Amino acid sequence: MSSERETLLKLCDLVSSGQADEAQVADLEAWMLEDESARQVFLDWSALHVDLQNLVGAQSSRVVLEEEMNRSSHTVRSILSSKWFGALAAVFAIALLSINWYRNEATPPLAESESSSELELDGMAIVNRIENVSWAEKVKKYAVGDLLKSSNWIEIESGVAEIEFGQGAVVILEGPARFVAKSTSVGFLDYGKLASVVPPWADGFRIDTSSVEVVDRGTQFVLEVTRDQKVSVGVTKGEVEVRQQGSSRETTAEKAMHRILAGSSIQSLGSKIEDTLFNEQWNSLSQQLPYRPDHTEVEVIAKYRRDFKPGIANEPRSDGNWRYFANLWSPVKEVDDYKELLWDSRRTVYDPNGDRGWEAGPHLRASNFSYRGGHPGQGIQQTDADFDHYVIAAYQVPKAGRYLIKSGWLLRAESREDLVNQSVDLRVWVNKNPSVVEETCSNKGLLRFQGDLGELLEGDWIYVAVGPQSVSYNDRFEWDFAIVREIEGVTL
Amino acid sequence: MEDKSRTDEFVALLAQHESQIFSFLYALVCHRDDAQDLMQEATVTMWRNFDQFKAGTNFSAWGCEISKNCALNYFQSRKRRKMFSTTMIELLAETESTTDVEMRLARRQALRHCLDKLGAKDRELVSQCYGSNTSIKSIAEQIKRPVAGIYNSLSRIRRALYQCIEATLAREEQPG
Repeated sequence: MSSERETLLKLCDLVSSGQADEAQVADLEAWMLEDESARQVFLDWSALHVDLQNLVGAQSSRVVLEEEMNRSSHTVRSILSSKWFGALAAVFAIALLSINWYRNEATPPLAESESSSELELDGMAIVNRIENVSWAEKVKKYAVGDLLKSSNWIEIESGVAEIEFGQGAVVILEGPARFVAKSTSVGFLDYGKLASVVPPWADGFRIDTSSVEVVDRGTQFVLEVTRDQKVSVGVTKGEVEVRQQGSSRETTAEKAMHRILAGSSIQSLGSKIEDTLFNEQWNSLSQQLPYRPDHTEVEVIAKYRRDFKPGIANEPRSDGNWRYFANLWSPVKEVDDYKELLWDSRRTVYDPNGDRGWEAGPHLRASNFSYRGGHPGQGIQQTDADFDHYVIAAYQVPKAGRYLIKSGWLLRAESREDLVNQSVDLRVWVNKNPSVVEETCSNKGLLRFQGDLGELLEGDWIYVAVGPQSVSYNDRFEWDFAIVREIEGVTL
Repeated sequence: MEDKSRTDEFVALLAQHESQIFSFLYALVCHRDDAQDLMQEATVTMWRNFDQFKAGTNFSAWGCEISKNCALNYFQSRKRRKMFSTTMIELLAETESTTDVEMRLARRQALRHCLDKLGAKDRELVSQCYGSNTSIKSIAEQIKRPVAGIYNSLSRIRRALYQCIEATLAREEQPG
């Protein structure tokens, strides 16, 4: 349908339903003065209202009459015409639908139900680049695009491998080296040399070694571990913290934690950490890192996981700028018609019912948002609605500026070979605007996403939604993403 | 006897064209109660002037002309603000008078078919909003939904129904 006709239909609907303002009525009149076919469309649209009143009103009267007849005698029923038998059949059909609805509410199918314990999120990084790599013997050889889990050690004799973590940090590994991604934001270097660049939204990214933890507080550093476990850390940009292994954040004493600024370096052997000369060769490795904006160019406004907080039982989230929704009644882009999710204190998720069982009905049965991710509602093939049911994380912009969504990733948490069509659909948009991101993630896949949200005003809403793509079986997902604002005067 | 025959003829014609005339009046005021008030006035006027109607000519065109005048008087006498200009009302009456009553019936029949294709939730909402005189605000309170959301849903449903009607009629027009 052309956008012009779509506009005409929208105007006709607004005017004929009494919702139009004076300007819209004037627009329609101007259109109809010029175009007879527009007049016909408007008259047809008005007739649609009247026919709906007549048809549905008549059906309602029939249902009332039917109820009355059900209370009356068999004799009365015997004089029913065939038309009334048709109406009876319709009534029975509605009754059957209602019974099925009730049953569905009471016993959600196992395939969609949430397990009581959260799945552990495995290491999550992806191979971006393999250059002149000679792989160690008897180890798996990886290719560009491979997903790395915590059991997937990378062991190279020579060459360079580039790995990007889910949170957005990038590591360049130079052989010989042995390395693994432990999670979306933690790696472990057994031996070898690496350089790492960490964007502002991945602040806190950490590389562990057998003796120290290196925590990023800036943007760029180099780490070298020899086979006899001597560790050297040099900072090329920003700053890092180096901690002895085993000292938790809570118990860190000044002597156990070293803060290193750009151009400085330390080395550690056993329990001893001391300053050392910066190795100029580290710069050449750092220069191979991809560009990532530093902390002076963008500010991180929001992060899904960082900002996720428990709420009050049976109430929607009311603090901060995040809200969690599902589209129960209308397609996902109808943002005025969302059902707000409530805190379920037993499952520690935001879901349609809070602590109160399955009140929202089957369409949103498994819908929820947890710290790690969530689950969409039912798909178009499972319900009588003509749309998929999404879960929608919405963030209200606190101040005007150019916004971007960064380092978004979505990972399917469960996978079953015996179920088809397990893709999920991801969309990102602002207010009622067209989507900035529209992507699909297959049942085993990792989806990375980011997008330019454009110039936003204070109070604008950013929506990030996940839908079932027709069928919601096993559609549980893990995810995270950051919303960043460009600092004025800086072009990314 | 002649009076009875004339009355029967009027009743039969009105029954056949009432919906179309009512739709036209609804288009002028876009409000169900106002359209019903106008229809009452128009029906009385049509009956009073029925002797001027020439048998075999277009009753709905004649009825729309009378209804249009009733509407203009209605706006004037009750100090109701007109939604459209007089020129626009004249043009709408002209367009409506050319609409075939069979086409109106075909559209209604198609609507019946399209309503059956709606999902149960949408049918239920249509039934709640069109099957009674309950206000949208009251329905919103009953079913715990935002008023704007209900308006949005109804708009989406009407668009779907309109497109379904158009598609149904287009299929029926195809040869064979």
